[in-house]
Amino acid sequence: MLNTTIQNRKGQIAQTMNWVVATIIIVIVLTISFFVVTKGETGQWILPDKQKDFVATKSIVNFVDINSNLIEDSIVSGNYSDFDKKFNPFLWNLSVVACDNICRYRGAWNLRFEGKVFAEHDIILYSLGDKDLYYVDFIFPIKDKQIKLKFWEASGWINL
Amino acid sequence: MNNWNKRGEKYLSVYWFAILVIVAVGISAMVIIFYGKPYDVREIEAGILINKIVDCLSNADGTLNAEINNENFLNKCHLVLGDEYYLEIDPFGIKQGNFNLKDYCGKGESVVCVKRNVYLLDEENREVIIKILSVVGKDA
Repeated sequence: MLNTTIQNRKGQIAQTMNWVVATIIIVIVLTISFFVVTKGETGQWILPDKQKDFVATKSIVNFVDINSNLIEDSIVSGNYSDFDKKFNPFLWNLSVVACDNICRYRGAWNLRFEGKVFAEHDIILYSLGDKDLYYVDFIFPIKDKQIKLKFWEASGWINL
Repeated sequence: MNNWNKRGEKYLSVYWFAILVIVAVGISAMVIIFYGKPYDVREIEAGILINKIVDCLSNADGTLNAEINNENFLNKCHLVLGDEYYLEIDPFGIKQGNFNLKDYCGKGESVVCVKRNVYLLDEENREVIIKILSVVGKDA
C-alpha cells in the first residue's frame, strides 16, 4: 500500500525537488546580485585605472628629483631626522583636501623604502592596508644598490 | 486521493507566488540601493578641473609654465567657467569664476571645495608649491 502511494506520487516528488533546486538557485543569484550592488554603491571597489594620480605623480617626481641628495645621504648615514622634516609636510601636502560641511583630508600618502636598504625606514601617515588608492613606485640607485621608493595613498577621511 | 493531489497543487501555487514576491522585492531593493540617491559628481568634477589646470601650468618635463597669469589663464588653459565654478591658484594670483562660491566652503553641501598642492620646478630648478582651490556649486 505504502509502495503504491509513493509510486503514485513520483511526479509530485520530482516537481517538489525541482522547486527546491530552483529556490536554492534563485536565493544564490539574488544574494550575489545584492552583494555586488551594495559593494558598488559604497564605492569599495577600486578600478585599475584609478590607481593613477597624475598630480601626485608629478609632484613626487619633482620633489624626489630636487631632494635626491638628501635621500641618498639619509639612507647611507641611517640618520633620517632631516629626511623626515622635509618629507613629512610634503606627504601631507600631496593629499587632497575636500570640503562640504567640514574640510578634511581625503586619504593620506605614505612612503616606504623597499629593496636591500642600508637602514629600514618608513613614513606612514595613515594606512588601512587593504584600501590603498594610488601607487607611485620608482627605483633609486644608491651605491650599486637598487632601492625602491614606494609612495602610496591610503583612502579614508582625516580631519585637518 | 484526488483531494490530496489538489492540496499539493494549492501549496505549490502559493510557493510560486512567494518566490515571485522574493525575486520582485530583491530586484526592487537592489535598484533602490543603486539608484536611490542622486549622484553627486562635484568632487570628481573639481578634481578633473585641477588635473586640467596642473596639465596647463606645467610643461611636459614637469617644469613650471611661467607665461600664465590671471588675464590669459582661461584662454591658455582652454577653460570656460560657468556660474557654478570658481578657481583660485596661488602664487599666480589667479582668481576666476563665481567669487561668491568660495564663501560657502566648509559651510554646507551647497558647494564642494577641493584644495590641492602641486610641486613643480621653475627654470632654475627651484621648487614651486602651487596651491589650487577648485569650487563647484549646484547647477541653477
